[in-house]
Amino acid sequence: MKNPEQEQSKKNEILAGPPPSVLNLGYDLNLSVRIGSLIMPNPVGVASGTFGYGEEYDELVHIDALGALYTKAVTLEPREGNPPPRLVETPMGLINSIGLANPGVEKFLREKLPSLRTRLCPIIVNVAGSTEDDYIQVIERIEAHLASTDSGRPGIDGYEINVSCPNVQKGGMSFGIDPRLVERLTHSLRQKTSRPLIIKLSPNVTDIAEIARAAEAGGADAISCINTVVGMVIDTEKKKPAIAMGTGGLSGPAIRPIGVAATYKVGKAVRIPVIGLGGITNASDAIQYLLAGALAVQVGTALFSDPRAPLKVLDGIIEWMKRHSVHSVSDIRFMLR
Amino acid sequence: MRQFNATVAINRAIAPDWMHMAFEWPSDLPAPKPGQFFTALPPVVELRAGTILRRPFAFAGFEEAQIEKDSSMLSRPAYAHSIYQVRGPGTRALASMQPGSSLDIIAPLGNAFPYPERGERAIIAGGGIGIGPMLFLAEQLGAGTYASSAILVLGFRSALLIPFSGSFSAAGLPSWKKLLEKAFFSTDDGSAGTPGTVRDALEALWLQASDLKGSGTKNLAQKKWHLYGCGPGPMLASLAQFAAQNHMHAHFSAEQWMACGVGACHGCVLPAASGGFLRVCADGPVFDARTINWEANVQ
Ligand SMILES: Cc1cc2nc3c(=O)[nH]c(=O)nc-3n(C[C@H](O)[C@H](O)[C@H](O)COP(=O)(O)OP(=O)(O)OC[C@H]3O[C@@H](n4cnc5c(N)ncnc54)[C@H](O)[C@@H]3O)c2cc1C
Ligand SMILES: Cc1cc2nc3c(=O)[nH]c(=O)nc-3n(C[C@H](O)[C@H](O)[C@H](O)COP(=O)(O)O)c2cc1C
Ligand code: FES
Repeated sequence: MKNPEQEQSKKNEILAGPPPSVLNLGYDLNLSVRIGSLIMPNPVGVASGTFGYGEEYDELVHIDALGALYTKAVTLEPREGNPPPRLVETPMGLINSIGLANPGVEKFLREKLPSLRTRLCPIIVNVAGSTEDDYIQVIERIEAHLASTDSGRPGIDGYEINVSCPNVQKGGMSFGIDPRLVERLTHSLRQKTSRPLIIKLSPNVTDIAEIARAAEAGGADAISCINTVVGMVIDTEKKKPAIAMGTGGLSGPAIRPIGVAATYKVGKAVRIPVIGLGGITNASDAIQYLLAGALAVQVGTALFSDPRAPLKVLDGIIEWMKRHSVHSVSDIRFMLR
Repeated sequence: MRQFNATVAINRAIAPDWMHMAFEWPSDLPAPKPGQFFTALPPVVELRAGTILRRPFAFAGFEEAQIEKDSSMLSRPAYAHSIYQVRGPGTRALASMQPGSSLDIIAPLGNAFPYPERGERAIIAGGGIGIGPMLFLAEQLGAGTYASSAILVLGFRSALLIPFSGSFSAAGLPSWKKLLEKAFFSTDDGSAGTPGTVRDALEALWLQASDLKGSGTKNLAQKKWHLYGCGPGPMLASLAQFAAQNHMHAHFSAEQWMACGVGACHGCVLPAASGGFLRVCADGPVFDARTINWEANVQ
């Protein structure tokens, strides 16, 4: 017989806070996953750009029970974003062209970090830029800020580098399509921080495995895949694109098979952990990613239909692990037959 | 704000392609205010359409719960009301729901219309399906005839499309029907009220008000106008112009495609008059008319 009190405190430790339904594990499960030096209490995070900096979802989601919160992109300078319309729904998907609207790193540190510090779940800051120097400066600025503020939770447990942004120095071509650029960028950022460095890959490339290997060679701790897939919708009455920018990024269930395949390829190509995302709506979707080789997952667009989706996914993973007698979530990636 | 499963109490037609829905409101949740909205996750009835997003709708009315005198038990729950137009797969799915079924709601969302200031008369203008929140506001401000404080002006394409008329007369809240009896109308085809747009109806009232200025009777002109509006983009652009020309306060409820509905994704923005963008779901949906570049939004 297990000591219920010990059991309880262990579960609280796993979930880093009193979560809703997952408390009654009644089973010896290890849900935690390791990304570089960081241990995430469970494998289900919320994807960058779909969860803001957390505050907006406070009344709807038990944020402390998440495996990780990936913030909206942070850039060096504030960005207003693209003109509207920025969104259009497509069959089982959503196209967005937000244009990385964000307050910029200074305002982020001043106005967003204080609330992030109060979270019990790991916080991963998503970083974007138009030049290599942009990325470097954002991370330098954040590291300097964290070094200058004393004890307590840093409120930032790692970085996710969005390399899908257009590179102004290379004529607007994305960083993420050139393995040499990805390796160089990763290498430069590696010099600036010892916190986990996750490179988030774009699926809009010929060979995603090659880009993943470049990130690994540059010193990345993990790979997130995938970002959105380029897409377009045309209004046939108005004879113009449905969103102002013409093309945008497709997300949601429509891209899930693309994401699972990318995770499978990347998982075979690198030894660092892979974080799978793209169209995850329920536990079975997430388990597909885990079986394809991911160590952890993120839920993005599904939040828009149901803010409870991430914790439902977590519940479902636990249920599946019990049914399949899997004790550690990090074993699932080796189980594909 | 809260996510909850609401029991649908009413879901019936009030005009061609227009529906009135009422659902039970949790007793411990603050009541919605005019201008605020909710998002609903339409039940999956049309798989081929493949919709994934929640749909936003404005509140068109609210009925407080009734409590038993001696036992302090609820004798009737609170109800939130909305009026919606069947347009695409999401609203078609909603329209197929039977009373008693359950609907996933997040509410209340967004800000509300401010009250008119002292000495201001509320002029409440609704166009098409935009009348929902205006009925709610008019009810709260006690809209009625000239002598009372607020005036309701509603625009439709044709008299046939005015709700609760003809075969639909049994549907809808009694308070809405009372408001409609006292409202001014415009119709595109001239079949009721002022021929033309809501703007045309307002111009006519404004002219009348100016003519009567100084006559000493309790008339339209005795108070400054505070214009409230909800309707299609071109209507709001036109009303913004009208308000600016005549130096009146104006607050409009805007629409934009939404994903999260809570301010997180920055998907639902409108161009701000001062540059940059404002989120309809979190900075609005009610805006001081001067803060939005309505013209840019119509293009
Ligand atoms: C704050 C807010 C309050 C609203 N209140 C009401 C209301 O009280 N009653 C009501 O009937 N409708 C209201 N709407 C609009 C309503 O949300 C849409 O009509 C609905 O989402 C359409 O869904 P659908 O699947 O039926 O149609 P879809 O196929 O998704 O859309 C049908 C057509 O409607 C247009 N459309 C869809 N969504 C929007 C939008 N958000 N803004 C502008 N155009 C859109 C598109 O051009 C499309 O061609 C409101 C919207 C917002 C943002
Ligand atoms: C509205 C929206 C905004 C996004 N913003 C960002 C961003 O700022 N940085 C980033 O790396 N990814 C961003 N993404 C991509 C998501 O993080 C995710 O990679 C993608 O949507 C696929 O996952 P999903 O199908 O679960 O949404 C955004 C996606 C959406 C829908
Ligand atoms: S819909 Fe996401 S910010 Fe308004």
